[in-house]
Amino acid sequence: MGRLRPTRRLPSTLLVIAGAVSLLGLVPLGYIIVSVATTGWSTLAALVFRARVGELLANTGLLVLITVPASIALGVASAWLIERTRLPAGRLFAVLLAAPLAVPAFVSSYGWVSAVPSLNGLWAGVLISTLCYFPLVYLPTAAALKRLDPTIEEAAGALGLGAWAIFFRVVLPQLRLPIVGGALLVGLHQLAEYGAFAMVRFDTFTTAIVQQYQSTFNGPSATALASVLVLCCLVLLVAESAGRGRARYARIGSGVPRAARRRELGRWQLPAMALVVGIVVLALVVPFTSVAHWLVAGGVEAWANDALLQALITTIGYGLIGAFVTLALAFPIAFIAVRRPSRTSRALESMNYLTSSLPGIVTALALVTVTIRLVHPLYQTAALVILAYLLMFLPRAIVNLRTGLAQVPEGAEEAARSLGRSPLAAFLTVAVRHIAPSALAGAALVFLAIVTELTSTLLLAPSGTRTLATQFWSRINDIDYVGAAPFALLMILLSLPVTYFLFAREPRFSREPRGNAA
Amino acid sequence: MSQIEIAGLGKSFGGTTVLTDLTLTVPAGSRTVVVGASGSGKTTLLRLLGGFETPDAGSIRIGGRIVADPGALVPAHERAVGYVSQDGSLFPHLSVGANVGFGLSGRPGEKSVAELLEMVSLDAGLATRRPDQLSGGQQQRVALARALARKPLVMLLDEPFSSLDAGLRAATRDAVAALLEAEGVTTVLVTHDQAEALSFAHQLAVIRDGRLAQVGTPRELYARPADVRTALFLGDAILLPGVISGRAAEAAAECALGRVPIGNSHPEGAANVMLRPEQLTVEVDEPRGTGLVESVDFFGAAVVLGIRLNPGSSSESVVRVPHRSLDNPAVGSRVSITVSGTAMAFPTA
Repeated sequence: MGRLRPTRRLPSTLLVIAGAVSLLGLVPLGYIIVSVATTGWSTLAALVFRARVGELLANTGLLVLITVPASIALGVASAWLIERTRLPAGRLFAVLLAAPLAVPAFVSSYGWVSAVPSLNGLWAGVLISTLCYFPLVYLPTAAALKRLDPTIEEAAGALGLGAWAIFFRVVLPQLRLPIVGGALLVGLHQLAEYGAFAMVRFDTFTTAIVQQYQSTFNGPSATALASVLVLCCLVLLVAESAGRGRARYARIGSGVPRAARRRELGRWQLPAMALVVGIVVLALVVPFTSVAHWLVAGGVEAWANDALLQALITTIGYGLIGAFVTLALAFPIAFIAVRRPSRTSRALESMNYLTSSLPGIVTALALVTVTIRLVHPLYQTAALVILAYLLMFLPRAIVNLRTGLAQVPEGAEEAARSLGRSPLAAFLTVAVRHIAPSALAGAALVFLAIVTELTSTLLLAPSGTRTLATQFWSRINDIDYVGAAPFALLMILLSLPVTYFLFAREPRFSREPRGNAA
Repeated sequence: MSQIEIAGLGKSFGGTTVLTDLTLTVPAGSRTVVVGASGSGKTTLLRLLGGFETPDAGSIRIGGRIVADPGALVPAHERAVGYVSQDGSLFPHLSVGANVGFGLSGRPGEKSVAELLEMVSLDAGLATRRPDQLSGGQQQRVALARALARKPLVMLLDEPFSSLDAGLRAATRDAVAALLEAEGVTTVLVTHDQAEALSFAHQLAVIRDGRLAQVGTPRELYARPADVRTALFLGDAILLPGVISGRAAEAAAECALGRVPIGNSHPEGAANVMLRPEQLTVEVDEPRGTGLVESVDFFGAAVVLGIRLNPGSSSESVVRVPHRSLDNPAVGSRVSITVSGTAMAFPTA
């Protein structure tokens, strides 16, 4: 029998990595706090309290206040139609309604501006961002609807409620968490988006900061705008946590819920079809048609361009390395959160969520400033770009790894240990297999975000580095819509399969689990 | 010789004490059952023995060597300890054969896997199946074969039969007991099922709120429980108020059933008198019987009689007694009750 040895509470390497990553995550917020503190109140007040900032605040505020409810309405309505009614071609629409996520907002915006050149200002911003981001409400709401116990709705029916009353008094309240969570994501995307709004000449804080940065590099005025933007972001986070409320929506019954009965649409069939077809046309057909139009106009010559292949390779390279690094560094945080939950592990985790909710422009500004002042060799390197991706997209990997880790049957791991495997070997032989699909999904999400990332790549990429997004953007700035089209197409082609893979992980599309032979 | 020696064991999780000062020895080759309600700490005890947790106090020795101390332990994979969990925890991604051979070094031969499967009365042809194609009982047997493959000194069983249906449970339990006995493996089983505990154990340990309430043979514990809670936990009991008089062998309790000798020492005076229902024999005795049958609940092979003793007197009370005969007393009949054996006297609460 083995030797007696001291027990360790936690593999210390994991704790060190998790701590270091989370501390790095504090850089952007820390940068804002330090610069606000060192700028001095009078300078800051002069920079913040001016008509321009008021105008930006009104623009950004109106954008969020209109887009978020519009996205909720579209997202919930389409989720309900897909999950609870016999909508013709429901499965096809289930995929198509998620597909806008594969089209970067600035590409969609480019499509719309090509189709309707007069589009500009607030309503253009609202139209484009609602169409791009409503799937962030649609997907979690549809998933929640799938899990809702239909017997609760039947009980409400037996208590005398009609179909509409059941929806508003019983179903909708139970969808609160996915709706509020999705709405937060929509809001945060509004704050962070640059390309889509710049294209329709709609000024938000983010577009203003980028312009400021491009004209005066990293002056105090960009920082002042960034600090107001961070405040807006914190307001959204607080609003979301207030919106979540304290009520519990866990299912009380036991066993596996039956699938809900789908409703016949009857005379509502036509309006329902009109709604989903309308969404698909506006969100997908319009942008795709524009891209196709420019592709045809450019002909073969538009593809005879070395920059295209180079940008594709660079983008895939950044995507793969970024996804791998993010996944590897997310693992310690997720592992500690699942296996050794404590106040420390929760703090580590939420630090990373906070950082990733900050707009990419803030993270990029912070990294530029910090590297120039403190670690100059890192400035204008690929490593810094990867670091920015890590800080922005880490939670996507953490959330998925957590889910995977939570599904590992600890009994099987312990069985392996009692059969002579060391804890590490037991984890590798038993647990990794259960985590792999979730890890892959997390990596895919990060990859997807990186290949369509524009704002911070613009600020951070070493000069001469060309990604699909930055190349697309420089063509747009030169009003070369024809030359931009191949880059747009490549970005969509990279995203579509990854988006479909993520969508297909939803239980509905996976095979039925095999039952026990007993 | 003792295979397992547990001394002064204590364990708490985040401020909640789960085990307190627990001392227990398990003789080599024997079967000890730790029985307790859920949350009593029995699974924690098993996990400490398995090497999955570190004790806060006390120590564990296996085969004379210390394997756990506060802050130090021999990890699970270096203990010669087999572990079978409630659901078997088979590896879902491996075939039955690969599961059984998992703990063997190198590539296990087909023959050794077949032998192990045969040992647990399974067909060698199952080796190529996947765990999800087996029934619950078969899965448990595979888990046992997998644990036996490494020839452990000690086998730990965590409610291994509770997921099986009633008929299969008894058969599997008896087969497992016979197998472990034949292999000479020292076994610790934890369960909340008293019937299972009584039938499987050589040594029975009742655990309550993280402490051992009583340790002994199943017969001892059933017939002479240390307190009322243990008595009720191990089976049905009849409790009557009584008055103790006499000392040592003459000690007896005066209660609603008359004068009943007591088997334990208890000071003279008021006490709680405990009898097992099977100690009572009911006979129809019209019209002199002191008991009045108030209810007859039919359960097939037996009935349970609700009998009001000494109606109208100061010692009036109701007992429920199982009764087996072809001619059951009817409601309203007068019966007399005779008591065999001795009663246990416990302090009044």
